[in-house]
Amino acid sequence: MTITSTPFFQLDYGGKIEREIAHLIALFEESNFNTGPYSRRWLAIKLLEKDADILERVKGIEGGEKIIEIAHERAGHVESMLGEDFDLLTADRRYGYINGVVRQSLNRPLVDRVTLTDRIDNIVTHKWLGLPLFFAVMYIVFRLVIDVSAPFLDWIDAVIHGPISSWLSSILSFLSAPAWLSSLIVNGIIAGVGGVLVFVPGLLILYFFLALLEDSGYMSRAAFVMDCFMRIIGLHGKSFIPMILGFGCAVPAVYATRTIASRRDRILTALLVPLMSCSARLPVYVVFGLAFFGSRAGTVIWIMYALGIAVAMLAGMVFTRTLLKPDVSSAFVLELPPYRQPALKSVLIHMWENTSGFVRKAGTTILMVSIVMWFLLNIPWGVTNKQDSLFGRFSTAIAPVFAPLGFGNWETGGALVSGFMAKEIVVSSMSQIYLGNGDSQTAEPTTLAEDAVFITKGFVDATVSSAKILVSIIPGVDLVGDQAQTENTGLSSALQQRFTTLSAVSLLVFVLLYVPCVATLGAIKHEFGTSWAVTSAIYQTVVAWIIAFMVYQGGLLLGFG
Amino acid sequence: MFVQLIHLLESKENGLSLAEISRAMDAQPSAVMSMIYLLVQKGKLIEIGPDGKYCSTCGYESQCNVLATRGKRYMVAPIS
Repeated sequence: MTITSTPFFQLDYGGKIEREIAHLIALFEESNFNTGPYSRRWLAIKLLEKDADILERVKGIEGGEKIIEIAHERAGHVESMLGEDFDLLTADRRYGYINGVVRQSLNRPLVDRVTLTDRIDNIVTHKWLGLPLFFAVMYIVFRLVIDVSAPFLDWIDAVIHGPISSWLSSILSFLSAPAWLSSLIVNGIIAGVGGVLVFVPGLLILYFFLALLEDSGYMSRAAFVMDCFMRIIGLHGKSFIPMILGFGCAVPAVYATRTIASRRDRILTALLVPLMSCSARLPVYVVFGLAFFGSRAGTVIWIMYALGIAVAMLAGMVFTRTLLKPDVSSAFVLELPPYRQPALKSVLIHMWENTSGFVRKAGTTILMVSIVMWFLLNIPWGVTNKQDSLFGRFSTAIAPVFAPLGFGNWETGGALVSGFMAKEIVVSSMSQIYLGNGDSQTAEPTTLAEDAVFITKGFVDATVSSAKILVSIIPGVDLVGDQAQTENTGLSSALQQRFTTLSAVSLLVFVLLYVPCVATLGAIKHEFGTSWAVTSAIYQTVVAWIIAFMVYQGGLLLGFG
Repeated sequence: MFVQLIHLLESKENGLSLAEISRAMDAQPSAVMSMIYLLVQKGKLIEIGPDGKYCSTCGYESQCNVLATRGKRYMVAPIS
């Protein structure tokens, strides 16, 4: 921990509490609530703490009752997750901070009392061991996410493209639905939304482990360990906390920069946050990883995450020397809470909240884009070759831009453009383009009982396979042998025909780095203005193109093509 | 800090005094005291006398010489 002078201090109350504070502040702004002489942040904290005096005063302000009701609801939500009263949680943070300051400011006689937390910290925050350990932890997490979720991914894929497609086709033919409507539902919606929903098990596992790391107290250590690296790019460890949030979703991560005192640091952090690989990119990695790297997909995905961090550092160094020169040295006092056993309820709530957000997005944004995509792929009406459709023509026109990167086909160009709405749409678009013309009605008809047996048996098999894979993580135990290889899904097979391993890697790099999704750009615009949102979009796309170009052309020169 | 303090007291059947808590937590007694006050107010901790009895239920708390000499002790409030 280091302390330096700072012109403006704002205590960081930690992810969950900060999210609620930001939510209330946003509510004040949206409802034009007059906070009077109080700062918005201070008032939000006091309302969440249910400060009796403040509640009485706010009741007297127009719209105050509604604000209080929402504040109580949000505080109750945090209390149910963390199992403590809100005011106790904030007081805990304050005392933790004070304790951190006192420990750094006072020299006391050395007391021979080393706690278990101290012993663990001696290793995980070690000058040389800390960083490799952090990357090792993240590597294990991503291996677990990919390996353990792979059998479930196959199962959901089989269920969606088997019984569910078959049921819908039967219902539509029973209702004598027109052919175009059947095609829209089966080839548009099922292929698009279903192509994304298959990744729900992977996300559940990812969020489970991220919640586990956060609640155990390790994530604070990760921020501490990254401090030295962050200083190289003119930031400090505090900026790494929004970046860690960025592994989940860049939108809350951009808002989480509000805890950073300096505006310059906030802008720089927000520009780097989208380079952290968010969970929306995971479906793209998993599809390409399993198609081209099989059992080594976990390693490839880990490399993508590490590459995101590395590029963020390089970009930070460039920004620090050009647009965003350091102003004043900022403080970084981070309380390292004692390690504790994560509360299962809190972990499960965290896991469900994030995954349900993904599912909601599948039911709204991705559904909408899938429908629009289907129409664009079928206009002019009756077009048989998709390349002649409106979408195909537009994609063909922009495809040459991607040709030097190894994926100059119109399908990929179009999918990347649609991914601007949300990154997982890249997968749903590819599913629609490559699989959308499949005729589900040609499959042999099955009874409802047969489908039920198929679904149940598939689930049991997936559970057993995942359990075996999980146990096989223990060194010396191998219950899976060569069976760990996942089956090729329809999309994987289609991709293998159109990409080489090198062009697949190049595409993964491009997807990792190119323009943030529209929601992230909206958050950056809201926080810092249009010019920074435009800067973010342009610089990321240019960087993505250059690095993907280097990967592909460099690979060709080295004979990997 | 609060979690640490509660965990510390959970493991002590007869509670701990302010001095013992501040030593265990490696923090100044004045800093620890304000935390204890808050936890007592919230009903998380209870104050007991040196003999293990609840001071708040004793009518002679203000005149208790034992309490004045040896100070209060604190323990986690039993779950009712």
